Order: sequence, then C-alpha cells, then structure tokens
Amino acid sequence: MSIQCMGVGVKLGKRQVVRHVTFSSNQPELIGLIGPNGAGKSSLMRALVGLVESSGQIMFDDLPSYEMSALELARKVAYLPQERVVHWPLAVRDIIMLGRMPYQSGFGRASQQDNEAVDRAISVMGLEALASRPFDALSGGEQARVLIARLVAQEASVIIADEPINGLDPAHQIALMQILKNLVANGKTVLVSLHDLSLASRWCERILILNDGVLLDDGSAREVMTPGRMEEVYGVQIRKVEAGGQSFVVPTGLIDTRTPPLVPLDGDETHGL
Amino acid sequence: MVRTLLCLALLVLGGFLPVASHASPMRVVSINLCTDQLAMLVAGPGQLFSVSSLALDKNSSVMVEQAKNYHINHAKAEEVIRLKPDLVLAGTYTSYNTISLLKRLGVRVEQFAPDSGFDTIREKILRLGLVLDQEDRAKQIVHAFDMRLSEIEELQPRERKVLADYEPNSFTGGVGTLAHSMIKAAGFLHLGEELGLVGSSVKMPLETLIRNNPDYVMTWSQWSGGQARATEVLGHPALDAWFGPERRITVDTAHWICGGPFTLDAVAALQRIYLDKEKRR
Amino acid sequence: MGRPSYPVLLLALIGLVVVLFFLSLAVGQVWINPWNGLVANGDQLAKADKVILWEIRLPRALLAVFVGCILGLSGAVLQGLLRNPLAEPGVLGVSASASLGAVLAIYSGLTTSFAYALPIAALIGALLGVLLLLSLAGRGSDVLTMILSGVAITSLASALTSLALNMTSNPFASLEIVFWMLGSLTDRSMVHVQLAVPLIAVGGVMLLSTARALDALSLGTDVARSIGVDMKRTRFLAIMGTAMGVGAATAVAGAIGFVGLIVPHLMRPLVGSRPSKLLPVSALGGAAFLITADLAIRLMLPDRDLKLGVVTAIIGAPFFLWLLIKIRKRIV
Repeated sequence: MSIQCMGVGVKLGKRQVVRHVTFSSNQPELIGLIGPNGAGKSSLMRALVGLVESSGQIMFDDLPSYEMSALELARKVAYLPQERVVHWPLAVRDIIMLGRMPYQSGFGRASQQDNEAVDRAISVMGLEALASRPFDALSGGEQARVLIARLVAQEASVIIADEPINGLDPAHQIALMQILKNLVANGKTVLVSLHDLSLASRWCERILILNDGVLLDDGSAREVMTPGRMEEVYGVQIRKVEAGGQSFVVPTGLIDTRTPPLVPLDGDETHGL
Repeated sequence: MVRTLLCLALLVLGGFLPVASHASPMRVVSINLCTDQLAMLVAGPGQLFSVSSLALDKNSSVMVEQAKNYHINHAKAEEVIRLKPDLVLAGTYTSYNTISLLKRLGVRVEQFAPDSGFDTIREKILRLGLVLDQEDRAKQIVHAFDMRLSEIEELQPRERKVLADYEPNSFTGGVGTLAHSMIKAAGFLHLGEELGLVGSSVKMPLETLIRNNPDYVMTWSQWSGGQARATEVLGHPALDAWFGPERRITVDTAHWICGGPFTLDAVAALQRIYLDKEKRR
Repeated sequence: MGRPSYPVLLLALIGLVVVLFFLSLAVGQVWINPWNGLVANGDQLAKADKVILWEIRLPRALLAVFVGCILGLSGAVLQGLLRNPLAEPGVLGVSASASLGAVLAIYSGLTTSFAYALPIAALIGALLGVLLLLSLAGRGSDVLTMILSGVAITSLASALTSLALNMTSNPFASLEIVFWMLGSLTDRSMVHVQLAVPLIAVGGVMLLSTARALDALSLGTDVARSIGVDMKRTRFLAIMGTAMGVGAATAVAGAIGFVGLIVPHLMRPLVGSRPSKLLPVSALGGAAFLITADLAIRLMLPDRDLKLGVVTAIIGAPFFLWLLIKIRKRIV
C-alpha cells in the first residue's frame, strides 16, 4: 500500500502540464489533490495509472510501474475517471464485476473469489437492492456509488479518484467522502482530486496543492491551506471556520486584482446612445 | 402495307425536317452499332461518312474491317454536329437527349428499332434503302437473304431438340427476339418459347434451367473485354455438372447482337454444330 | 426478470438458424425435400434435384449463414468498440470499400491468375475504409461525425466502383454496379464458399476474441486500460477481424447493409446489454436474419432479380432513422 512518485513530469503535445512532482505515501491515508482548473491534476492522476506517458519514476509497493504488466498494475492501483459514464445500460452487478477483470483470464468466467469480492463491494456501498437494475435507471448519486463499488471490487491497495463528488448534492458528497474514509480505514491509500475546498480541508488528512503543473505544498490542511496560498493559487479569499471540533476552509470572495473590469468594451461605446 | 406505313411515318417526320427527304443524302453519319453495319451494306459509294466506335469492337461488330474505312464517332451530339451530316442514323434506344438535341439543331435523324426477328431485318434493310435512296440495292440484299434462309431451312433435321439460350447474369430470351428466330431457323425448339417467355432479358435462375433440362445449352463466347462478374454464372459448377460438353454450344457473340445478312452466317454455323453433335450421339 | 437465460437463448438461436438453413435448401423455383435431394439416387428428376441442391442451393444457404454471421458480429463489435449504437460495416463505409477492392481485383484480371486475390483485395479495401474512417472520425468523436464520415466513404467508394466498372469494356457494367452496391446470393457456387469462408472464419475468431475488452470499454477507454485491457490489441483485432470477415463476405455477396445495425439492437435487451454476450447472439441473429431476407426474395418475387441489399435496406433504413431520432432525443 505504498505509492512513490519521483520527479514525475507529463507532456501533452508540446505543453509540459506536470513538472517534476515528487511525493510518497507509505500508510493508509486520504490524500486530497487540489488546485485550479488546468493545474494538471487529471494529467498527474492519469500518469500515475499509466494512461499517459510520463517521465520520472512511479512505484507501487516498491515496484516501478514500468516493470509491471497492465494486469499487475491494475491489481495495485484502481482508477476512477472524472466522467461517470457507462455506455450501455448494463446491470449494476455486471458493472461491479468489471472490477474483477485484472484477476480473470481467458474467457473471464467469474470465480468464487470474484463473486465474493463483488458481494463485498455491493454490501460496502449498500447497493444490495439495486444489484440487478440497469445503470441508466439509477439516480446520479446511485450511479456514483456503483462506479465506486467497481473500484472497491478491484481490491487494489491504491485508489485514485478524479473529482468523484463532482455534480452530486451535499448529502451524496458527504456520504462519498465518508466512503473514501472507510476505504482508508480498510487499509487503502486514496488519492482524490477535489474542487471543494471545505470538503478537502474537512476530510483529507493530507493535501497536495498543484498549480501550473508544479507541486507547491504537501502537508496537512491546516499547514498548507493558508489564506496566502489560496489567494496565490485560486485568486480567492478564504476564511477558516471551526465548527463541531472540525476546521474548514471556506472561500468567501474573489481578491480585487482578479475581479473582471466592469468597464464597457470599446466597441460598445460607439454604438451607445 | 409496311411500306405505306413507313412512307407515312416519313412524311410525318418530314414535317419537322429542314432537309428535303427526297434528295438522296450524301453525308450520312450512323451512331448505332446495328445501323452502322446495315448502312455499310446498303449505302452507295461515298454516301456513308461515319460509323460509331462500337463498329470497331470485335466483341460486338462483325464488320470491323469495313468499319476501318469510315470516320469513327462516339455518338455524342456535339461531335456529330461538327461532322455536318445531312442524315443521322440512330437506334430507338439511342440516348433520348442526344436525338432531341440533334433534331433541335436541324439535323435529319432516322431511328431504327432493335431487331426482334427476321421480319425486322427485312424491314430495316428496305427502309434504309428508302432513306438512302438505294432501294434497288436494298431489295437485292433482302432477296439474297431470303434465298439463303430457305436453303438453311431445308437442312433442318426432322427431329427437333430443345435449345436454351443462356446469357450472362442468368438471362434468357423468349419469342419476339432475334435469337429466337435464329435458333428456330437452325432447326431447334426454343426453350423460352416452350415455356411461354416473351422478349429479351428474362431472368432464369440456374436451377430452373436444370429443372427444365433442355437438350442443349447455348452460351455466348467469353468477352475478350476482360473479366466480368456477369459471366461467372456461365462457369458455375452446377451448369458444368448437369450439361456436359456434348450438350454445350458456344457461339460468337458479335453475330447475335444486330441483325443483317451476316446473321445467317451465325445460323448456318449453329446448324452445323447441331448436326455435328447429333451425328455423334 | 423475463429475460431468457443465456444458454437457452443461444440454443434457441442455433435451432432457428438450423431450421432456416434447411428451409433455404427446400425453397426455390420448386420445393425440394432437402433430405431426399442430398442423398437420393433415383430417376432423372431426382438427379436434377441433387445437382440443384448440392451445387446451387447449398452454397447459397451456406453463404447466407456465414455472411449473416460476420455482418451481425462485426456490427456488434464495432458498436462496442466505438461505443456508438449506429456503427455498422455498411453504414461506416466498410462494405462499400470492400466492394471497391473486389471490383478492382476482378476487372484488373488479378483473380484469373490467383483466385484468392478476390477476398484479399476486398479485405484490403475494407481495411483502408476502416482506417480512413478512424482518421476522419477518430476516438471520442461524436455519433454524427462518425456517421457522416461513413456516408462520405461510402459515396467515394461507390463512385470509384462505378468508375472502375465503366472503365472496363464490360457490357454489363450497370448491372454489376447494382450488384456491388446492393448484394445478392443468387447462383453463387461452392467456389465462392471456398473463397470466402476461411477468411470469414478467421475474421470471426478475431472479432469474438475482443469480447471481454468490449465489456470493459463500456466504462470508457481510460477505465478499460486501467483494469488491464490492451487497447492496441483490441483495436487491431476488431479492425482486422472486420476487414477480413466483411471483406471476404462482400467479395462474394456484394455490399449488404444494415444487418450489423439491426441485429445487435434486437439482441441487446436479451443479454442485458453486455457486449461480450452480445457477440455470439448477434452472429447467430445475423445468420437467421440474412437467410430470412434471402428466403423472402425467393418467395415474394421469384422471377425478379431482387437484390438482397434491397430487402435489408427496406427493413434497416427506417430502423436506422428511428435509432437516430432516439439518440438525438437522449442528447437533447
């Protein structure tokens, strides 16, 4: 359950979108990856799973990922992409079973072990009642849970989830963060990218701040999510709020220099009056 | 009767034509394979100026050598107009647009229907004699044609065998076709006629042919124009399995497309093969 | 759930194909009892029936089965690979480009010196068609771009086919253009079976081997790769399998459209939409569909040279429009 990332860089076309990112984790923990749009979060995550070419070295359980076959890598690290898409109205159980693919060979008959793993994932995610329903008949929150169940069934020690709470209502967002936390309690290392600063500060024991492809900070929310840093990275003002023994970071407004000018454009003036 | 009708038709057509129809045309252009061949036979010296390019194709024309003496056209209105013809000979199936364009430009056009039997051959030769002002010549040709036909008919065997005419793309013909007249003249019974088929290009699946089991199957010679999917059926294993070489007759395609005096060459050749094969049985 | 279990579904489809196969042997200009005809040795008429059965109807029925199989199967695979419910060799221009390859091989005289040049040329045509399609409307492009690219490729390939046919001094050109664009199984022989079936079989195996990868692809390319699917291999198998199978089928039967579109759609609800399970049933369904269409031609208009593609398009084109409307509604 360890992940090591040494000097990882990603180039998309001619653009260097991730530069020399180094971090490692040797214990189960929930790591939040934050940063503005275009900071390179998705690219970094895709590089970790081997979906894009990268420089530097990535190791899982002290094994360099380039030495592993695709199947071996799939047993070490599970990946949840940003968009929640299932192209055919598959049954929930069939979708979750896809998480067992790295363990199956040949014609892909499900073994006893596979079935048990899927059953566990279903019960962990509380999907018993939906197991035979087609995916397109589920609500957004249910769909998100099904896709995470697939991730769980994969039984990898490292889980990488790209904005899993995007587009969910607050109840589902919190439920999902709780599920990720439970996975950590079960011994997984979870790297999750988030846009919601208050959820990140509340749930993640460790925060990585990525800006313009560079890893700026790595530490606890309290240490790294400082007003200065948030202002620099996002251009927003924040306040730290204490409630119920928890501390939250709440964005309160744009800083002045980033406010768009409220002056009419040149072209408009000539047409005015 | 036929001639009066034709004259009548000519008179009607004449109303549209700027060129007087009684003068004998001296610069005739033919743009149809069948009129090409007949015109080369009927026209007087110097009268015919141009024939179509098909007349040079040995797959379809029996008068390739003669055709080389004429200017060659490609049956396009623009090209024909430049030849300044005083008469254009065309088929009834020549592109409607080409014909109407030529007529609008004031060219006299005479159209001839495809051959549907020996009668149409005679009619066409006589009508061609009329429009080319070569009536005596035409009558002579028809007379010789009739003489030769009766000679061939005398050689017909007593016992009539059934022959099926099987063409590329699984087509066959019925009564009212040139091939029907030719096959009957050679002394066969014609399968299409026996089955009550009428006209050309009737589809006959291979299994129907085998079921009807004619004594002979006649196919056209291969096109030297290259491979074609259409002729594949003539090499179908079932055809070879059922009709052995002793029951197969191959004829030269060029003789079976247009009618004319040369048609009887093909009939005589077919009859020779027939008599020969019957003797060997 | 009211869905039949998978083995039952497979058995039912196999049974249906077998029944239709024998029906296809029996039906023609006259009704022939296939069993008597295949084994009997009797009078002249019985002998004629035997030749008709062995040399004419058997190759026709066999080709209907194999061509139908590969069209249904390749439709299911292409839909799974491109995650596009409108994908199908006919719609995407694969069949038309295979026709072009076959036409070039026949009329250049290549096939007279080497018979297998026909399916191989069709394969190359089909392959170029697929590659052109993927370069025009590569991964991740929307449904409409892909369909429009298919339309463009079909038009281009059809035009070039006509051009090639018109260039030869072939008096049957116009008839043959119709064959290559609409397809037919009339008066095919065992020679055609021998030419097409080996390649169709190899192509079919390649297509079937993509089954599990297609399942994973339901969750998108990224997830499929993250659970160990080799996308390069999958893409290669799907493209080569389609080119080989559809190429060989088109080489002997012409371009027959819409089979690969209709059949997977009818089958999908019966297998819970799982692409891996969809493949075998689409192959069987394609065979059943094509034999039925071929039977319909023989029963409805026996004297006319009705093309197979006419029947499949009359059923398939409205179906295609209905799907298009359904998809548009979903996007809006």
